[in-house]
Amino acid sequence: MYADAIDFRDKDDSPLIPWRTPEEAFDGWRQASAGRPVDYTGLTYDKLRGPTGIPWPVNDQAPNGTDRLYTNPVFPTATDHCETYGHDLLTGGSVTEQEHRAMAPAGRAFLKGCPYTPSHEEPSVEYPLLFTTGRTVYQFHTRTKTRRSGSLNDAAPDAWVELNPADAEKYGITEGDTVRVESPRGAIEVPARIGQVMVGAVFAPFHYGTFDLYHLDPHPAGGARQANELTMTVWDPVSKQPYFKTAACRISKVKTGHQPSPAPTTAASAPADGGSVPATVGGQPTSSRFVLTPAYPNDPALGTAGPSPITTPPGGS
Amino acid sequence: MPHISTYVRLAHRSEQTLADSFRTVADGHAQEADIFYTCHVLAAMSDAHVAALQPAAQRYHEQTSNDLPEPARLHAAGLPQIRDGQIGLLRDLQDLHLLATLVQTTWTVLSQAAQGLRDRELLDIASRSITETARQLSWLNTRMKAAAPQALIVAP
Repeated sequence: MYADAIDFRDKDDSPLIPWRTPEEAFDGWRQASAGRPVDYTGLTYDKLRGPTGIPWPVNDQAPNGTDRLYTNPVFPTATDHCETYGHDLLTGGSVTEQEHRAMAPAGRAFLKGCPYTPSHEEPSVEYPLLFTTGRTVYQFHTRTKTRRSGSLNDAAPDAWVELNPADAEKYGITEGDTVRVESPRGAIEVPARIGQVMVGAVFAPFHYGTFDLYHLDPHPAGGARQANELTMTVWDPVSKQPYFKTAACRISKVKTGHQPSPAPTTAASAPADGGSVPATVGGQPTSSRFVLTPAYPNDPALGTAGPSPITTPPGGS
Repeated sequence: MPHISTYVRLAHRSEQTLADSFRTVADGHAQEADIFYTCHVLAAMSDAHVAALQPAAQRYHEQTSNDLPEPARLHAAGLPQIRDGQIGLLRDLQDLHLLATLVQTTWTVLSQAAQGLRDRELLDIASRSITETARQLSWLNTRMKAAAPQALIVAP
């Protein structure tokens, strides 16, 4: 450990970092959560190895965890107890302690509103279509895991772009044609699925083309496949989530396709003309094993634990 | 009440200067994506205040010539260009904060005058603007805090 190598010590000349194993580090961490909204003090490696999940807080009052929060309903918004004073949703400007205290939250929840602001980039004459990115059910993020699963990878093996039939007709594009999709920042060239997106919108999955670049993995379609080459460098001012869902783009046909696009025919990428594309099918049946439902100490059916019921107001049904 | 027109003009000019300076910083520091977008949003806020002030400005014959003597050093100059680097960004944000403070106190002064005059329209504009000036100041504070450690300790 670095702390040992540097010989960090506390005032008693003991090692400053007392933990040596992952479990000891976990114990140090759960002690740090004592009395905080997410209190893990009652959680142990043994409990985590047990039969079921344990919802926080887990402490002396709720040794088996807590199924429902805020049944009283008091929220952890008190100025001296809360984890954050919050932000201006438009700019991300921090609310100060003084401002937070002046609102006297005292356990009340905040519901914050924000006026509508348009997307950072909207369709224009030069880039007349909406561009958005997303997922297919068969792959996860950049496929580092899911592409190793034969059935999943066979269902969605490579990139595509989804167009509405009306837009496809306008640009002379049919199923499987290679299409160039271009925004002010970048472009992809991928086969077209004439699918279910709304008129004026273009959808591309973001799973492809990051680690599996063409110079490593030559591909007949050619060109880039990374959908986020087209999206903007801008993020939500509070959560810092990048805005990968809105951009403007233009499309053009690059070459005629000789087979349907690799998009799955199931779920959101189903073709508009159902019969025209061979259906995505699963692989061999997988084996499964029946496991008894584990006992759950907070099971409401047992009547042994769980939240105090919410009192029905007089006249309520 | 000749001086109220002086202060209406100060509100007008200082909001315009703030809006222009936000745009200068936005475009000059565009490689910082959040600076680019947020400063344009905040510039648009000040633009809206300038537009909202127009009817009141006309009623108070906003002073456009130099026929009335203004207090010395009444107006503050905007940012003609940005400063480079992380410490430059920090200084630019500080300058924006100074300009926004001038806007804030100008609206405070005008809202007092508007109450004295029972001028609901001017009071309404001042109250709405001062709320948004506070948001501009709040973001500037937050962003300066984020920029300060790197700029002061690490940047060459």
